[in-house]
Amino acid sequence: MRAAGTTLVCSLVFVSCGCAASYDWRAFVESPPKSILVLPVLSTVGPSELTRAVWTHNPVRERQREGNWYKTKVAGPPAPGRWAPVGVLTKQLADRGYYVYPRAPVEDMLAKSRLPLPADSKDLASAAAVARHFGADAALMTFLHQGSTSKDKDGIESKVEIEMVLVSAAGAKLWDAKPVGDERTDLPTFWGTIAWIPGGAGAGFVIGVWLGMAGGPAAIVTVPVGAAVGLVVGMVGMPIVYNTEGKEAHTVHGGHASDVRSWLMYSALLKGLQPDEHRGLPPGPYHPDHADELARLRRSVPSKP
Amino acid sequence: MNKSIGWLPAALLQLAGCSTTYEWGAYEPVVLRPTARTALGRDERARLGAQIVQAREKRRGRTIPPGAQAHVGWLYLQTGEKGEARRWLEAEKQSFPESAGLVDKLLEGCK
Repeated sequence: MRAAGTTLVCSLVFVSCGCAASYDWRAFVESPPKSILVLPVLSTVGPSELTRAVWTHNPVRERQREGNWYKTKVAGPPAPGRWAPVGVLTKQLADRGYYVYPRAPVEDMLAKSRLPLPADSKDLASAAAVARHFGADAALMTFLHQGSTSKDKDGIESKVEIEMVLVSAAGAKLWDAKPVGDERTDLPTFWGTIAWIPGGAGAGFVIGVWLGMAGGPAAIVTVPVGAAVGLVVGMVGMPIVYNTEGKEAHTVHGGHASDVRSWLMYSALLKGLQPDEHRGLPPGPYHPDHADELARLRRSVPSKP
Repeated sequence: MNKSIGWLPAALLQLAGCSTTYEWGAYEPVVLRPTARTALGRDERARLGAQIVQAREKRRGRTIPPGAQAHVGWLYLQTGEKGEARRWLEAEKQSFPESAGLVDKLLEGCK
């Protein structure tokens, strides 16, 4: 619990893609899509360990076991693959006001239709063909370009690079983004370990008193004893647990655990869709800001000469 | 480097399982599942269907997420109950006219 909270919040560093200040919204405002079909995530790199980790991503399961996220390994049945992140995108796009094609029927029907999926981000024609087949206004292609983990003596760093392209049924590129998810986790240091002593002592004290109060008439003895034992156990135990668990995450698993790396992709996807000053996907027809935002984008597009 | 954290509040909301537009309820785990091949069938259908009916009664269906009714219809189609499937798919088309393409494609299997 501690590790998940502190590491994910404190050591998360997101580097924006550093895109140009202005974005060409011409194609988007000419035919703003109402419905989106989310295509499975395709990888332009080989099936690396990181790719597998991302593909087996399951946010529901992840939420259930976030208590020991760093111990989770890629295990069980073969990767369900590129459909795994589609759910996250589906939900996010729907909340952004678009009609998103339900992923399960689409997965089923797409497999039966044997339509070719786009091979790379320039293959707009294949994506448009799938959108037309299902009668959607647009199809969202997502590519996992690169994932890397590097270790140095102080910690590890993982990076996931994603490219998202929204293609209209007519085959035009409506919108694209290249979000990057980046996380660094530091090895437990000497002073970091020392810092856990007061916290452990305090927690142990409170738990000891609480347990001691169950002693009934003998509480006058059990409360101080519980407090003393709790204090010592917490003071010694917490730094040891912090240190060994932190080292284990680095040495035993040789990098970030699969859930952390897939979380990187998850957060990168979210970041790609979020309304940014210039690049986020504009809100769809079911969103209250739809009309205003579209009008603003129309004004930003230079009129035709 | 343009470091913006505008995405953060929405991302945190998302991680906390909140949604501003729709009531996802039983449809959320269905959407977030890694693959459709692990469909739960009748059990899932009953739960999702009951929730949608309840939402319709209470709030005139404004908070039913897109695709939920189509998903139920598709599940009925899997077991060959074409009448029920048609009913759910038509309901999806009524709530979200944009779904026409998908619904018509699924209804082809109803004939």
